[in-house]
Amino acid sequence: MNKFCSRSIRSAEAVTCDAPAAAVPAPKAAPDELDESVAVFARGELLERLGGRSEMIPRFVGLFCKGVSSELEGLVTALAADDADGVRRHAHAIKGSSGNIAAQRMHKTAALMEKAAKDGDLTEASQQLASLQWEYRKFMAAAGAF
Amino acid sequence: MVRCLVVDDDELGRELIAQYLEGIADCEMAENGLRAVDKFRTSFEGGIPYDLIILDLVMPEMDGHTAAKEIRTIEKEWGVSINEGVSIVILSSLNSPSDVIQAYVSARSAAHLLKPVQPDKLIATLSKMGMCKQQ
Repeated sequence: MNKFCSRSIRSAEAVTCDAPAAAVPAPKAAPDELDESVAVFARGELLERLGGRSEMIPRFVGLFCKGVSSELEGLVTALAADDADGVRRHAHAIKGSSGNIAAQRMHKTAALMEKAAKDGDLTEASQQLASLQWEYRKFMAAAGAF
Repeated sequence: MVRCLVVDDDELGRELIAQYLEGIADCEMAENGLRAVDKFRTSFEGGIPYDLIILDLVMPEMDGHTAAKEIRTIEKEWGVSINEGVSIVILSSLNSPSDVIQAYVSARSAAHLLKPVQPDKLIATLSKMGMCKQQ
C-alpha cells in the first residue's frame, strides 16, 4: 500500500484516499491555460460513459487513486534525478488516467508537464508539479474520496 | 462473444474498457507489452486465439509498438496471413500523425482511438470491423 492511498474499491464502498502530501501548498497561480470552465471532476461525463451506473464510480475512483498516487511518487523521484524521460512517462500516465476518470484539470496539467518534459524543460515541469498535486487534492475532495 | 485482450499499464483504463464491452467481449488483461505477447502466444498456441487486442502504446517493460511487432511475427511464423491476423485497435493518448502512422506500420492496426474513449465510439469502431452489432 503506498503512502498516498488506502483504498477500498468494491463498488458499494466509499473510497478513502489520503492527501497526496501532508502539506501541499496551493500553487501561486493556476496554469494560464486552465480557465474556470475546466472541471475538477466532470462527474456527469464519467457517469455517461458508465451508462448512468453511479454505483460504479467509487470503485473506479479507487483504481484512479491507486494508480495516480504511485505515478506521482515516480514523478517526484524522476524530477529529483533530473530524469526528463521519466518525468515525461509519469506525466503521460497521469494524463491518461485522469482523462479516464474525467479529472479534467489534472488531465490538462499533466499534459503541460508532459510537454515540458518532452521539451527538456524540467524547470517548467517542476513548477507544474505543485499544480498537479493541488489539482489532485481538489479532485479527491470533489469525488468524495477523503 | 469476442475474445479480447486489453493491454494498458493503467488498471483503471483496463477496467473501464472491460466495463464498456460488457456483453460484447470477454476481456482478459495485460499490464504491459511483454505480458501481452506472453498471453497472445499462449492463447494462440493453445488454439484459442484472441479476436481483438486493444493496445496502449506507452507502457513500461515493453511498449505497444514493440508488442504489436512481436505479435505479428508470431503470426507470421505460424503462417497466418495479414488478413487473418488478430485485429488490433490502438487506444492511446498519443495521436500525432507520426504516432498514428508508426502504430499502423508496427501493428497493422485496424483503428486508432484517443483516450479517454467514449463507449459509443469504441463500439461503433468494433461494429465497423464486424466484431459486434452497434447497440
